[in-house]
This record gives sequence, C-alpha cells and structure tokens, in this order.
Amino acid sequence: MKQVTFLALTTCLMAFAVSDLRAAEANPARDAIMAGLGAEAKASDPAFAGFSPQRGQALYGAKSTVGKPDTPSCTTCHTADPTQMGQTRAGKEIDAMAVSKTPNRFTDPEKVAKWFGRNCNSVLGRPCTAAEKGDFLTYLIGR
Amino acid sequence: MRALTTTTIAALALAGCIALPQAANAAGTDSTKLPPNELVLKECGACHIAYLPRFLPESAWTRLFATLDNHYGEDATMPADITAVVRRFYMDNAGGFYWTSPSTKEIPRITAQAWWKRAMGKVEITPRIRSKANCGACHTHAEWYMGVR
Repeated sequence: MKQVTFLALTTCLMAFAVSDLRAAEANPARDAIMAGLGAEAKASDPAFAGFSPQRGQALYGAKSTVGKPDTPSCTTCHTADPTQMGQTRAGKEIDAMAVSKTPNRFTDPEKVAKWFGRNCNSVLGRPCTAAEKGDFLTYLIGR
Repeated sequence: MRALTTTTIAALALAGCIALPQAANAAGTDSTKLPPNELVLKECGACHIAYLPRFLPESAWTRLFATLDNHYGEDATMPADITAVVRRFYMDNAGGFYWTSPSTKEIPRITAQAWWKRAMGKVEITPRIRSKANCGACHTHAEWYMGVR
C-alpha cells in the first residue's frame, strides 16, 4: 500500500512539473487568443504578414494626444519597462505586463477583450485593430 | 489485481492534478457567477480599492454608473450584465441623505464629501500614495469591509 501511495504522489508531482514547464513556454489559451487575432487581422487586410514585436513595442511606448488626457500612453500606468510592476492612477499595483514576469498574462480571453476595449479607448480614443492587439501581445509575450 | 489498483490510483492522481488547476482557472473567468461583493471587488478593485457604497449617496452613484465611459479620466465600462449587478450593489447600500449630493455639473467625488475633508483633508499626498483615491496606501484593511478580504 505504501508503494501505491508513493507512486500516486510521484505521478502527481511529475504531472505538476510537466504542466509548469509547459506553462512557461506555450499556453494553449494564449495561443488561441493569438490565433483569433491573426485570423481577424488577415480578414481585414489580405496583405497582413504576421505580427511584429517592434510595432508592438512602438505602440506600447507611443504618446497619444487624441485619447483621454490623463492617460496619454500605456506607460502612464504600466511604466516604460513592462517587466516592472505598474500602478493605476488611483494607486493600485498592476502586475508586470511581460509574460516572463507574469506567466498567466493574456490567457483569459474575456480579460484581454475587456482591457483592450477600455484602454485603447482611454489612450488612443478609438478601438484597437486586431493587428495592433496582436503586435502588442507579441511584444509582451517576448518580454 | 494489485497491478490494476496501482495503475488506477496513478491514473486518478494524474487526472486530479490536471483537472484541479483547470477547474480553478475556469471558475476565475466567469464573473457572472460571483456573489455581488466579490464581483465588486474584482471589477472595481482592479484599479482602486472597492469603495464602500455608503461613501456616496444614491444620486452620486446614479451619475457615476451612467458615466463609466469617462470614469475620472478613464474608460471603465463593463459588460451590461456585470454593470447591472455592481450598480445594484451600490444603489442598495448607498449612503444617507445627509451626504452632500454633487451638483449636476461635477462628477461625484468621495473626496468632496464634508466628512472626508474633515478626516482626511490635511493628509499629504506623497509620491508613494500617488492619489487621494488611494485609501489603501495607509488603510491596508480597507477592503475587508467588503466582506471577503
């Protein structure tokens, strides 16, 4: 019986180790979000040739004069370095945007849609395109 | 029989390990299943402490929930079904008639209430605190009153 318990525990630990490794590399939920954005970008622009972390980085750091004046840039709350913790204007801490620091980032489609919806409107004064969202996420997944 | 039992237990353990985190993750995504106070903590509490409903009168909450697209300088819109639950929570537990009602021109502010000014008006807002809205910088248990923390 001891052996059986040992085997069960070992299996459990191994399964956890494996799932942890997989989480650090690729995440099926995040991949699905990216695939959805890719399909959307391709549909609106047949010449679309994939997402670019450089364009994403530029968008992340860009200063906008069109959106709401208190939030001219993503960096207003998320700081210029996405591997650092951010802070909301009302003072609450925001987990780092970089997936290397916050591994469960961009794995909840509802949450991703909600915050792009709000923050693109706050910062840019308009909804983001699928291409912009994909570039932005590609940049942060690589950080 | 012995071998069968061993395999079964190993398989069950494996299934348990895989199923548990996924179940927890799935529950975390569906806001509509949360009780109202937890929903308020999740939605309002993402940006600022979940302010108590009694901090403002009903008239102020009415205005606030009608202007979530420009919520103190940011878009704070939520899906309609979630907004309805959060709004109901604030309307049902709003502060009394003796609170100052904001004029129709200004957006409602807790910091404009006489009781807030009396109690907090002289507090220096340091860079660490960042904002008068950041009650939690000093009142670290502020959200416990919402009943879940």
